[in-house]
Amino acid sequence: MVNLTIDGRAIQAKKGQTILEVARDNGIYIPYLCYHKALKPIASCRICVVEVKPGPPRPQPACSTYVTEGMEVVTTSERLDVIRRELVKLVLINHALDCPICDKGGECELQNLTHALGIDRVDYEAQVLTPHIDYESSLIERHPDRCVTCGRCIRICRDRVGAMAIHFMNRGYYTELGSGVLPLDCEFCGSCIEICPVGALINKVFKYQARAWELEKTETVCPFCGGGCTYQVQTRDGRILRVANQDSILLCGRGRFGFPVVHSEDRLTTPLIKENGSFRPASWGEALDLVAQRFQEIMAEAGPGAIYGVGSPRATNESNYLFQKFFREVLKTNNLDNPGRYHFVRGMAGLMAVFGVSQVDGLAAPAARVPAYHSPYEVTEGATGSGLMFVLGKLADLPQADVALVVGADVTTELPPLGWALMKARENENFQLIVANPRATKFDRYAALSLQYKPGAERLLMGGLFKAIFAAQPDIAPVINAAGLEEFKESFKKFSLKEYATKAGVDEGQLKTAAELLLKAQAPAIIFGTELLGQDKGQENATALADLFLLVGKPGNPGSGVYMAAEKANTLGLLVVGVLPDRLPGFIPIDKDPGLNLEQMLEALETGHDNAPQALYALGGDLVRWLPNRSRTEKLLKKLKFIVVQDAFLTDTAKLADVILPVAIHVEQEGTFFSSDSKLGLLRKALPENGVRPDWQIIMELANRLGGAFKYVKPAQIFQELAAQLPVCAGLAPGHCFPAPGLTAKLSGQFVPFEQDISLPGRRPYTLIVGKSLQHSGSYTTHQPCGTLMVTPGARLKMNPEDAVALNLGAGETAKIISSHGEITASVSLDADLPPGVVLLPDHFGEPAANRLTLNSNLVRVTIQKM
Amino acid sequence: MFEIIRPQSASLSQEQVTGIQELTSRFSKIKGGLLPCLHAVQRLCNNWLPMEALQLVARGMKVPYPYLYGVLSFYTMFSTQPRGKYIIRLCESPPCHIMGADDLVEVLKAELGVGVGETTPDGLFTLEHTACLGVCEVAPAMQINEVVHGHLSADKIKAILADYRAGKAPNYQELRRTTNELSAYPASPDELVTLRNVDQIDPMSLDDYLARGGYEGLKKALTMTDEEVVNVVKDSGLRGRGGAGFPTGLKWSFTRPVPIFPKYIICNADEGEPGTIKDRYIMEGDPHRVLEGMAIGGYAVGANFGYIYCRGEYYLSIYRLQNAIDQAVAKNLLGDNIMGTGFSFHIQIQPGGGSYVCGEETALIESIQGQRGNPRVKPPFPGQVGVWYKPTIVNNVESWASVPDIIVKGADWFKAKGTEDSKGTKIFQVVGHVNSPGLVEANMGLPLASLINQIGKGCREGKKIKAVQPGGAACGFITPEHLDTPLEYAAMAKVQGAVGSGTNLVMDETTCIIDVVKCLLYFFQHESCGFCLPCRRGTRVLYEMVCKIIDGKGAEADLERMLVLAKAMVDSANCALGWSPYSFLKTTMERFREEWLAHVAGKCPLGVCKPNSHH
Repeated sequence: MVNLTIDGRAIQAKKGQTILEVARDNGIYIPYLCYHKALKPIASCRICVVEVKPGPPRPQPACSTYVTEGMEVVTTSERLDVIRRELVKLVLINHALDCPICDKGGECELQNLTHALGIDRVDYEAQVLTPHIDYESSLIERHPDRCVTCGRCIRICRDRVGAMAIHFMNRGYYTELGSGVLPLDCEFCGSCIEICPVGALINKVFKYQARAWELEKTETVCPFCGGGCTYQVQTRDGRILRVANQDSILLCGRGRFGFPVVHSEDRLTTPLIKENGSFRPASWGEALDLVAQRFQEIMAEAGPGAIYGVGSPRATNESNYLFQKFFREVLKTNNLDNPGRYHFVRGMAGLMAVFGVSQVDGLAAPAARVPAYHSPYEVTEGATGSGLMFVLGKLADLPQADVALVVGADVTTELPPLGWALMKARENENFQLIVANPRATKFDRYAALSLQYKPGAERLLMGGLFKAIFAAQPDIAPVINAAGLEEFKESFKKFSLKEYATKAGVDEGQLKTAAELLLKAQAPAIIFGTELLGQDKGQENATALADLFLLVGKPGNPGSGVYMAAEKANTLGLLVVGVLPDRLPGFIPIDKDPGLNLEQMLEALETGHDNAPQALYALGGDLVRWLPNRSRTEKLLKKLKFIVVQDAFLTDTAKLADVILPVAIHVEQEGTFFSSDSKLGLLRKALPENGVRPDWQIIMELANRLGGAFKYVKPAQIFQELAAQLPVCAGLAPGHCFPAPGLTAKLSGQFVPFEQDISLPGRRPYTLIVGKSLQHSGSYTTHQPCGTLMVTPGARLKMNPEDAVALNLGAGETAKIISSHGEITASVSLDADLPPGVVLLPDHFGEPAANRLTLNSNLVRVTIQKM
Repeated sequence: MFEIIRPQSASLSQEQVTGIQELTSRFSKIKGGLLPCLHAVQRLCNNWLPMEALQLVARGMKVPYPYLYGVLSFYTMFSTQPRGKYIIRLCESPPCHIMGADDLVEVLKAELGVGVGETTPDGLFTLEHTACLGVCEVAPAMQINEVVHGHLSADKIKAILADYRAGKAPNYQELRRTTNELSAYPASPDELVTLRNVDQIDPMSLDDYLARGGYEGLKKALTMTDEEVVNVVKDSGLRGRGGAGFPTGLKWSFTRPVPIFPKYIICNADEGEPGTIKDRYIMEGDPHRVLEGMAIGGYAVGANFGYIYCRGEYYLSIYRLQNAIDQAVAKNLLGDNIMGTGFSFHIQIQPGGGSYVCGEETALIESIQGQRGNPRVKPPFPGQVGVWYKPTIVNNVESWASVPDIIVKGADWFKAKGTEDSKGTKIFQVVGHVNSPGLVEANMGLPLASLINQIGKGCREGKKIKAVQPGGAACGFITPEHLDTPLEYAAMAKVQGAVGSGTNLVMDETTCIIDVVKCLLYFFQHESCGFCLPCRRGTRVLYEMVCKIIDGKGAEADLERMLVLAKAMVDSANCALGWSPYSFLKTTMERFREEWLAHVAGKCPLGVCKPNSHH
């Protein structure tokens, strides 16, 4: 602790705190403009200057001066008052005093500052510059005449987002925020808007919708990826007008501008029943009765296994829990799964093979009464745990990693908060980033080493990496108690390091460098996501990376872990609460009569096996859109006698349904999500339901019609029941991850050899990666008036400009893409981030439907022709 | 609020595209390669940077385009609009201003038929204004591409333009000096240190340098311990010759024990202080001396790498220094394992981009790192956290050039020179209204009057001296009664002057002080980096207040308001640039109050100020 005085008051502060922080913590007001708690101080506005003894004769900026023992700080004096008033007057020269039409009115820091200092006139003049207001850019409006040149926007964009899309331009009096291009070409996360102290940056979606003080504010969880950001939904008259993260300020574009989908005209508002090939509205009673009746009929004919359930990564833990409970307890079948089967489940399976399933021992019995959404299990001394959940990294810890290896992931696109965490990690000057990806991605800019490998060659790259590690340190002894190392080493005898490098398309030296970095890392992090897991051998990929962590990981050191990006808000939660054919809540394996997984179910449908289901109950989970080989999925689903889809929109799968039940989405309901790093996010209801219902209520109604006795009145009750089945979540509370830090990890692992090959059959000249767009989350954000549609209104085939020349294709022209399984057309965009021979098509939009081209993977060889 | 001057497009030839790709591939491997890369690309693209070229640079250097734009728009030497084959940079800083640069711009405009910032229709010339070119001894002056033309008159300008039009553009590499030889000036009364080889040796010859004891200082230093070397420099009393006068050895002694590596040496060769011309003589005339000093400094503090940040306009200095580096490396006087001692030292030259504030050591460091030249918030100082955030010693060219002889001849030899307060020799410059503007290296304590009368040969044309601004643009004005002040730190401070860079701007009785103050304030608002609020806006406001007074729209109260604002800037600005106006505002308002008041009353007593004609 440090002892100092501020304005004569004796204060104790923590070492490393600035004067401004200490003053704020002690209720002492020091005015400022450029400082923001989410950023590192730069001391450019100088308004926070204070007098410091001992110290230089000049006043010092409080935001960047650290407290020292015995320091005497004076925050108000005549001298300081003169300085501050002079400075704020300088700011106010030519400041557009257009407060009545400025959207920042009422929450403007300059207004507040001027008011606090009592400045009633500005007796200085300077050249009036013509403001060139940027009305042209999407989503963000720029008013240079309101800018105070504090640089907050530039800093959050550069230091926190890593986009570096805006910067100061010119200098001196003419210094201002610039981008070098118009309109803006950026990530459109809008964090710059939120952090702007004035109205220089305006949110076009919010503009003129309301005054700041009219808004009701509700803290809830963002639903647009597995990052688990909490944000504040700001509503008026039953509509969301704006969202904000007032803590770190950071949200991604989807998070900040995606909310209007809630109010989309495409939303389903009433149950629909299909009659003679078209849907008609129905009452809830009628629709639910019909579903119950058809389920009973089908089960009576073919047994309970004839109904197949697909859970939803967008639904809450409570709804998904109830869904599996409905199947297991009411329908009495394990025939259910979730769409993560094609990516995230593969990742979990790979990790599980190496580290085992998670389990916690030594806990006391669950408490009878705990606060809502808290685990009834207390973390007691001596409680231990093991398994994969103990190697799963936490985003909050990632900044403490010293080496991060990203494989096959465009980090920000897959999980924006993961990108922010990496940016934070970069603040540690010893941090080293290794980016391995077939194409160039944003984080190459920050990488100490970029390995651009051939598409699909991940496992050969990993083979080479293991080879290089074993060569550099033959007697390597993993920190984690590991079995099977010697046999595992044998599996790399097939090729030399040079051969691995050549096959993967990288440099031998790069592999050696990567190996060195990983070997000397004290807290290595391994990062990957859906794009890597979406391959047919996604599980093998995950196994290889799990093996790597077993070899070099140091899970005792904060930050060291495996970070697996989940695409949707509750992708992990689905697994935790048991929406799996072979596991109960808490990953408890089912030995007797496991159900069919999604792949097996489709196979059974295809072969007409007698265990094939006859009806489908899909809680969201748009199989037609998301599974590879779309025409096969469509064909097979049409074989079913009865399909019920519970969704907010008329999805491609819903179109095949017999009954559609419209559901509430995140802001219309209460419940919880598990982010991909297992943080429990608490959804709070901010809007009325307007006729739709939360999933759990629908499931309950259905269950009770089929002989169940579900008597929940609120999701918290379901959580309570659920949490009692999850010892692995001991100590859990909203905002916290599991396993709890208090549990002693007893980790062990088994090295599992993986297949070292490229699974990319065929001879067609281009490799198509079916990927994701930064601005979209599944198909959720493709509904008007979602804000991000202004930036990315559709999917384009991205290709290297050289390829485009060879194909005689120009930007915006239409290309025909042909695979062995189908063909589609798409508009072309040129992007030098893609190496020649590799093209990328995002899969959010109904058309072009990338999954018409794929067989069992998100990679496929294609031929491309000019239309 | 000139929101985005969109860089113009140009269709690059395949050769240019390949050339840019080669450049980015080379410079992306060099730490701090961005600014040198931009200079090289600009040369390749006919003196400007088209959008297409910038996009290639952005990709090749892995810098997002908006960021690249932000950086390059900071530096005046880069242009995103087409420019002519020859860029004419006419100096408008005080030393040239008081010598009549204003009239010359009219001559140039008329001759070329274009305005400032424009290019002649034949694509031959672009006319630009520039801040001090560092050639004040030949003021008024301009630079055409790499070559300086001084002592300008209307006739001379016409003749020069005729030569260029006739294809007779001089090659700067073949010039002996950018301006005059040292022998053009009266000899020093004292023994020379930093200038002793200048004009005595061929600056392109390492052998010449060696023949006059070159690299003996380094050889000797390498037989000493690092601590001993630091102590010798400390004992010598050498103080930083860039302007601030911080004791050099003391600075080194803070960094030497810091256990953080790598450490760096920086030579501040961004000579931009108006009136300052000295470092150019050393670099052009005796480049090895600078390298030797840096290598000794590197050995003393444990650094193996040095940067010379040389202002971009000093083409000949850069050429000579690079030649010297190559020669020294070839002889293993620099490079790895120097002369088998195990000590390695490498030197890289970083050209500046046209920014005065980059002479501030932390702005300079930012600039080396390929950023906008914003001074950092201090502490921490570079000695702890410098370039690439590692401990770094930054010293001026003259300081580094002083080091070799201090090591060879000892601290006592050096400190025997000068005064009790200020040791050693210093290069003093006298520019402005003297008969013979120039420089001399003399012992500290040389009376200002001697400098003006013996070196400068007195006030021009028998006129009387009205004022002198010693130290540089940032310093106060002194009057004839102060002329017997010795040029040393303490005595100059006492009269509200400063030694600064050693320059002295002499103004005769025909000079309007308010006009000079306006020119100074224009300079500071032009060179403010824009990072901190007080300086970003304060310098501009002060400039406009002076303009307003000149226009006869001022009030006496404005003088007080200017001082209040300038004082608030002293109390709050992040670096010395924002502190500067106070010194000359305060001293001129004290010492030339009548003249200020006359302007407030709407009259320039000397008829110099032209109302309503300001930038």
